[in-house]
Amino acid sequence: MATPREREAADYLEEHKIPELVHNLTSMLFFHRPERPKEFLIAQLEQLRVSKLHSVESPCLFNDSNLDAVFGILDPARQGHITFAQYKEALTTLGIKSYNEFPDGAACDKISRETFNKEAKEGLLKSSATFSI
Amino acid sequence: MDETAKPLRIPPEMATYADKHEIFDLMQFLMTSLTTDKPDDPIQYLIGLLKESSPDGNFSMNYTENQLKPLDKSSRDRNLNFMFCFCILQDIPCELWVKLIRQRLSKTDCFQRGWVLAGIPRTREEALCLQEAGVIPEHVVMLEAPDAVLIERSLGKRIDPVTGDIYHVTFIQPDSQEVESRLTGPEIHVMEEHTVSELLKYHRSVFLLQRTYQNCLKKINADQPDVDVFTQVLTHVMSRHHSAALHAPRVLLIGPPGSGKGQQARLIAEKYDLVNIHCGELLRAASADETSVGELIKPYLESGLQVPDNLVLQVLTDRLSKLDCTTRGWVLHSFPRDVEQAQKLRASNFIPSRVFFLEMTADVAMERIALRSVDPVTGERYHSVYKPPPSERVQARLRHKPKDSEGQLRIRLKDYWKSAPLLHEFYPDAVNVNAELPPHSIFELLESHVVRRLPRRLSVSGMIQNMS
Repeated sequence: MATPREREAADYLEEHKIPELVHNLTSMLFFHRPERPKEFLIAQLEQLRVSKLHSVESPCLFNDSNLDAVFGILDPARQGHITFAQYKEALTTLGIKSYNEFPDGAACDKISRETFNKEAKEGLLKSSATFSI
Repeated sequence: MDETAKPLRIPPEMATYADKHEIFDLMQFLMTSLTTDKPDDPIQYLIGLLKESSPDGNFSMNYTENQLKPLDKSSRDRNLNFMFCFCILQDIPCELWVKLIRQRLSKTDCFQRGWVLAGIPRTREEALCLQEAGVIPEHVVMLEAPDAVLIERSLGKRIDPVTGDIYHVTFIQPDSQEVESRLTGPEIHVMEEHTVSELLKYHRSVFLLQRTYQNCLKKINADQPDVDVFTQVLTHVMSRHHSAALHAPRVLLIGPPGSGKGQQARLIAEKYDLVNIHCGELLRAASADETSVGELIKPYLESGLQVPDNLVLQVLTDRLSKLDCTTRGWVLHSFPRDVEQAQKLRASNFIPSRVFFLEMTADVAMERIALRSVDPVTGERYHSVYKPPPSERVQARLRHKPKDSEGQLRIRLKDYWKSAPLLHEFYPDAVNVNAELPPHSIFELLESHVVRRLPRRLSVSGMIQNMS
């Protein structure tokens, strides 16, 4: 990153979270594979803009049933809770980079389904809200 | 997440979708626009950019031409598809006309349909001004001709005042008598000295201009009939620059036995790091593996019957959906053999991005295969005429494949030629290659098609208008 112009460009991208935005948009495109990619992108961006203004949920690939499914895989014996290590791995796999390191129940290494859902949702919200506040 | 037993498989639909809609280029375009303009509200900016750009499925192309004189009819025909062209401007200060151009080019129709600039820039300073203003052409075409030809052309130039068409006394004759009668001669100041001085000025600046645009420059000889020049320019403009997108080509080689599919597949796979898949070998490997599918296949292979399509397809799709095939690309040969297999391949969503038909006559095929043999010790393949074995000892132990015998070969060739025309119909975009050429020539031909991007498709109406 030698020249000042390059640094400016890099700073700009960081500040507005452009790499995450492009990453999310591309994942959406590949998942839904719409016939008209540009119109689809316009729709997603409009939704994102609305969510920024009115703090509604931004578009995201995962929904509640996905989170339940993930928890179910991790907890096949239906104990109702998972270990802390599993919780960390699960959130990383979902693509959430910054999550709460100390959720409820971390002390006794038993993270319940509700806590997991709550943390996952918050993390997903943050990663899909790709705009600077 | 616990390590699951199922390895990561990227569905092939994603690869075909990405190729078809050129997602990489779209994203690249968005990112470059963002970093150039750095808007405060990127989301709004991106929405605007996407709305303005050409609707899905169309493309826009931009190029400038440098030519001295004359601006003939063919370039006007080109304009039916493109936006417009500027003619040579007088001495106006650089900033002013650059601003004018920028304004005109930022209008939506230029954005969507593309533009042609003719005759500018004339000097390096003008080119740099254009660059600074953000006007970047995709192709730059330089039309060259010896000075004598240019002078002759400008002297003989005649203009039809009614339609504005340009004719020439010797080269481009007008069609009818009445057009001929109203042609006006060149304007008074276009005399030989003027032309010569213009040419000198041009030669002084052209070298630096070439340097400015050296990445996308193409020189075309303008000393030809204008239709030829036009077709050359058009084919060049339709070709596209190398994209930085992930290059995972999916190549399909179809041809009669002996056409060199195996050899070409091996060469391509080695050079471009693709996965070489020979269908027959795949089946044999599967049957040796003792999996459930392998057990089913074994009796067919042992008795010499053709393995049923659904089993073949299962083994094939298994192999093709592995991660290395998705990321590196693949070369497939000796499948499909007939149209039903091709249809099933298409239904499984593994669409090849390049299909090649290796064509040859029966005699050459017979000659190549009948004399083929293998050395069982080293595994080397020899041919009695084209690649004879090195020594007597090797010669003594060579074996022939039973299916290479003349009788069987005739049957195989007949089967191939029965299904070949239908396969041609099924893959209309395939490239036909003459398989009788030496292997390295064939390889170069295949290479050029695999590596280069597919040329743009001109809309049908545009083509018809341009050809007339």
